[in-house]
Amino acid sequence: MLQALRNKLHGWPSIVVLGICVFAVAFFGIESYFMSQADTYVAKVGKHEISQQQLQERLNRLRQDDSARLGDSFDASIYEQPAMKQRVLDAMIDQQLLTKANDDLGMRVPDQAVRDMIANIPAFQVNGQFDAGTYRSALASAGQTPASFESDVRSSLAIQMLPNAIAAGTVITEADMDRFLNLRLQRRDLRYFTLPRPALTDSKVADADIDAYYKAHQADFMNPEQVTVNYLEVDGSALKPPAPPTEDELRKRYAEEKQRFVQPEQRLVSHILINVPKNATPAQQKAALAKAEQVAGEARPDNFAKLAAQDSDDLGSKRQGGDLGWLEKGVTNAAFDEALFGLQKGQVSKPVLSDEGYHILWLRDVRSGDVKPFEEVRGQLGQELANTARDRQYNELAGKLADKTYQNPSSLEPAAQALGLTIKDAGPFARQGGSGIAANPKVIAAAFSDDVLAQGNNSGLLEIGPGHAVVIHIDQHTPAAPRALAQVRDAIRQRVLDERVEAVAKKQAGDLLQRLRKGEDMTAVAASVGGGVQSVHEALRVQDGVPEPVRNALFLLPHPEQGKSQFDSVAMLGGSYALLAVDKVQDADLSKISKEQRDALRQSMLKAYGGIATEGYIQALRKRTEITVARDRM
Amino acid sequence: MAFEAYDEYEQGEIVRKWLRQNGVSIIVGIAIGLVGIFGWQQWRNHQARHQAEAGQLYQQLQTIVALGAWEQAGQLTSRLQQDYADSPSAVFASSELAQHEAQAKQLDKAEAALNWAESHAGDPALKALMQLNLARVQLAAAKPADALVTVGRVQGGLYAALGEELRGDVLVKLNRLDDARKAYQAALAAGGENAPQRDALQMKLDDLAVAGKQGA
Repeated sequence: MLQALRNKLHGWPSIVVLGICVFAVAFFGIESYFMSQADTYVAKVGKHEISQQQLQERLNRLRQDDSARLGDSFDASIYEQPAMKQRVLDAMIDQQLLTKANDDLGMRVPDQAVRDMIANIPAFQVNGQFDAGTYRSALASAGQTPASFESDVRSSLAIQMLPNAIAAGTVITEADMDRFLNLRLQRRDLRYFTLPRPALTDSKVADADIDAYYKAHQADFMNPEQVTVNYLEVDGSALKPPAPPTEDELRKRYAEEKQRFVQPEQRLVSHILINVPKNATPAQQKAALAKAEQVAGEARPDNFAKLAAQDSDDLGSKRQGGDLGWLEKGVTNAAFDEALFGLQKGQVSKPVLSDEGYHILWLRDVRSGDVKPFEEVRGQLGQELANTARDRQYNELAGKLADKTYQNPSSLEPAAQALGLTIKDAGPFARQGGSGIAANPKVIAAAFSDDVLAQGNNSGLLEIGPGHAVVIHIDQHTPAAPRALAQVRDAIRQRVLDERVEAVAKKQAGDLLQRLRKGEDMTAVAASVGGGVQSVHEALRVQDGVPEPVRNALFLLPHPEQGKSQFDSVAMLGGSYALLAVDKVQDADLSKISKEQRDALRQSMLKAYGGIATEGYIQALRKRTEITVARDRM
Repeated sequence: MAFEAYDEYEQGEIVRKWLRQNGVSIIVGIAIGLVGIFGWQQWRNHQARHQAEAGQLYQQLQTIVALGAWEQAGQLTSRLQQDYADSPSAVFASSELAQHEAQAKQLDKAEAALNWAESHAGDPALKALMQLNLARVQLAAAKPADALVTVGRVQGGLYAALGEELRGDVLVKLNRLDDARKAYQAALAAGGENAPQRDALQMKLDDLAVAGKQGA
């Protein structure tokens, strides 16, 4: 056919037509290779994409963990905030970078490490030993296969591999530690004295000054934004108590929940197990029985523990003298049960055959069962029934309240009339909250929310405690406004005076500092202002008895040369000043550092510097990997 | 060429002739290709196995170190250095051994281990880390000039927080206090607000205060 085609193809028109056909067929669909595909990743690390779904899964897991950990103080809204998402995404990017770095470096998690890790998870252990059956069934119930679980464990170990190796390879020398200790426990000889607070000769403040101060510090004299709210309240404890349950209702409930009031009989038992393998030959069985009978013959209460340790095949209990703890009926298998509940206290049984082999039982103690009669639990039942009825009543009312206030969002009036509730009010209160219901964070948040404050709608039903809910509506809103000058005049006068005292004190301290620096004797200078010099030999950074500002200033002074003290002045708490001198600086007395202290310091330094090194390594990875974050898809 | 001019027999002849001329090279080419693919896979497998063995030895080292059996740890590390010199595990092991030797004040041994680690680290980020560790040991061995050179070898602004602090320590030892102050300030800036050693770093900086300008 091709030959025929070739024979007939003559002349340029046919060649052009064929060319167009070839072009169309050959390049059909090629544009999809060049057009950008719809990207769905939130971040792209090198060639690896982190999908929206992965980020969401991670956030969900974190939310669940935190919710379980924090309980009531848990706030779900932070997981919607961009900053939180960014942080979680950053952690995921770091993990991806570390995984990639493992590949590049050729580092792989050894199989042994994966095995050890899995074997050490308590959920897969029976009596402290890894159990393959438990492992498989636990995975099956979580919907995972061993292969997928192993790969999860492997990747979580892989993420830790480089950080661990970097931490283990961190070097901190003894010289580094000496340097830290010499600074941390540096000894400085200190002299200091505190200046008395100067008295003002002129305590008059002109009105113009007050005016100027008021204008310059407007922000300090503001009334905060405040609201007053109306609210409807449903309080379970204030509802009319429902009719007490009748005798018949109580009896019915007792009959329904009888098992709650029955304490079954329990028996404290020890056993010795003589194993019979699953597919044992008759000879094996016979040998096991013979051994079991021999042990049963020897066993008495006083030597039972010893025999268990010696002969029992039950690894979990043999070291505890065969102890199985308190057992109820129906916990173990039928033959075992029957033998156990047929024994007298203190008796040792004949061998009993179960799936595992022959057991020899020793009944150590009996706790007899107990049934509480109706009369005894009647009060409790009545209380429970009343509570249920009250909860139902409360839920009904709260539900209606939520409905009615939602249907008429602009007013509480219709709901109040329909439900026979009175409208109460609270406030005025600011964003810091007030008293009564205005102290509740949910109420404050709702009162200042856009929906309630700006749109003037009813809030949703706010649960402010167990069995206690409110719906609020804004009554009055006062925006933030400056307070009248007359109201704050006295406060301003005091502030102006304080500032004057402060200025005088500062100038005085400055003058005295100059005198000290010129070489005047400190004792004389202190005496001239009525102060007394205190000196501390070899003061430490944590020296007791020295005020904190003085201590801090002391260790910021330059090292003095021989005989040439360094001076400084420092503002104390409460507006007075102190002057200080450092006379001598010495390194720490390293001979006083015990070996334990050094070891502890080494550990904490290794940890700190290992952490910085790991962070530096991740930064290096970030630098050389192309990372794109799609913020709009986050 | 005018293909249509030949009949079927002639076409067959031409093909056969061409095959006779080129058949050998085609077969040889295919063989070389197959050997290449196979060999490459073998090589990859060998590499992976090699790295896995190194990883296992490193894991073993961690167990031994946890028990405090340093003599064995030393033997294991030299085995890693000899047989798995191209593996990062050998580099990490050397560094870990160096930490122990530095702790035992055998600074020349620690320096040798870290010199080995520096020259065998393939990854630049790992190399830089080893250079910093080496400089730290050289500083402890009272060789601040060497340490300064080593810190200077760190390329591309890696580990700024760690490196600048160490450079500051070295410069203090060399009594170049102005330069040391700058280095500590750079370390503070690089480390960020929540760096775990921030207080210690601030303390080092404050201790270099001179009259008139205090601290940072």
